[in-house]
Amino acid sequence: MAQVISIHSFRGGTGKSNLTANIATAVASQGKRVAIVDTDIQSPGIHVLFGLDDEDFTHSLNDYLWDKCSAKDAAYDVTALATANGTLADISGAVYLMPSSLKAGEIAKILREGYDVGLLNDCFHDLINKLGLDYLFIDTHPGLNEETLLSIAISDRMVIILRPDRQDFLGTAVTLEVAQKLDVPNITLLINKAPDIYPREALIGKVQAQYGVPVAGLFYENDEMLQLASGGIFWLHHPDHAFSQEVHAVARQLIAAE
Amino acid sequence: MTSPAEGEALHPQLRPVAAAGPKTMTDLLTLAEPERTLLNWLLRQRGASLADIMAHTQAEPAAIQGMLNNLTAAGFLILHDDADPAVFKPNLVSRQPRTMPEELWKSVE
Repeated sequence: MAQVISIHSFRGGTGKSNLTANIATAVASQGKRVAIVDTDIQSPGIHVLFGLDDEDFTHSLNDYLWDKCSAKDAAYDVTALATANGTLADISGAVYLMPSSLKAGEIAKILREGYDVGLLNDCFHDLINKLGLDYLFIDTHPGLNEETLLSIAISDRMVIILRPDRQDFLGTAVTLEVAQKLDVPNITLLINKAPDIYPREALIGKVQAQYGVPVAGLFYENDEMLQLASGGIFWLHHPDHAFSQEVHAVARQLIAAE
Repeated sequence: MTSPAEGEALHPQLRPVAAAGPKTMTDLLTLAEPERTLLNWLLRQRGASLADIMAHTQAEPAAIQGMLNNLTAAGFLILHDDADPAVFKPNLVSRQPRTMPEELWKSVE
């Protein structure tokens, strides 16, 4: 049975989309069939990491919600795109991406009119069934809003990304409270963009003690990530980097928790 | 008033009254715990029959029926009785229409 994993952060700029793309691709490298749905309708962008231009897709999540296409029609196989541009690694599974529209008018329309929550839920199930998925990753909009709440509510697992930052810490506490109200079965934290002055075990221990929720990974800030500048999937470009090793460790934990 | 046994069709008098329009996920968060828990479960299931709901909750039929009636009357659920058996489905929208000026929306669409 497919696992639905929503990736969330209370604040923007945590590296949520970047980690989602990296972890989902790492799961696919273990032979799994994976899809990512960009439910960040207000500010979509994860497609950039896969080298997908807005001219490359004719349908989006928006079209599905307006009944203009099937879920499968709006999902693109990005496995080959992810491994393009001279990357060394091979992906034995498959990665699909359902992007959100980048057209200003379409973003405004959906913000204005909203959509039937049941349709988004149906979309996830259609994708799982039609593509034979093992994992569906939901890249959410930061903060707590109506769309994000649905993604949280229907997830088998919620991954919350935070930086070692007081505002992130406060926001994560609020997010956890909401997730518990929505009966999310499994919650995991990832610490991202940590300055290297923080010792690993001490930081993980502090966060776990504060929230009572397991920390599945700790990612330190690094220059190579800045240089890549969303130009690809990091671990495919830097397979031996400590960041990449951590991505794979998180992917293995997700698979083991099935 | 008696409640239907598991799997039985709803008696007309037990049928939930017309809904008060769709609700949002934020509205869901304001519900008391038993209603919220039931609605969370129904959201994951994408709907369920009365028999399935009773089997899942293991609660008193009268209590479940009352909760379903309340949730339907408040607009959180819709009873799809074209299905056999009838199915209770969440009636949620991503957001209620915004109150921003019409001209502002038109300028970006």
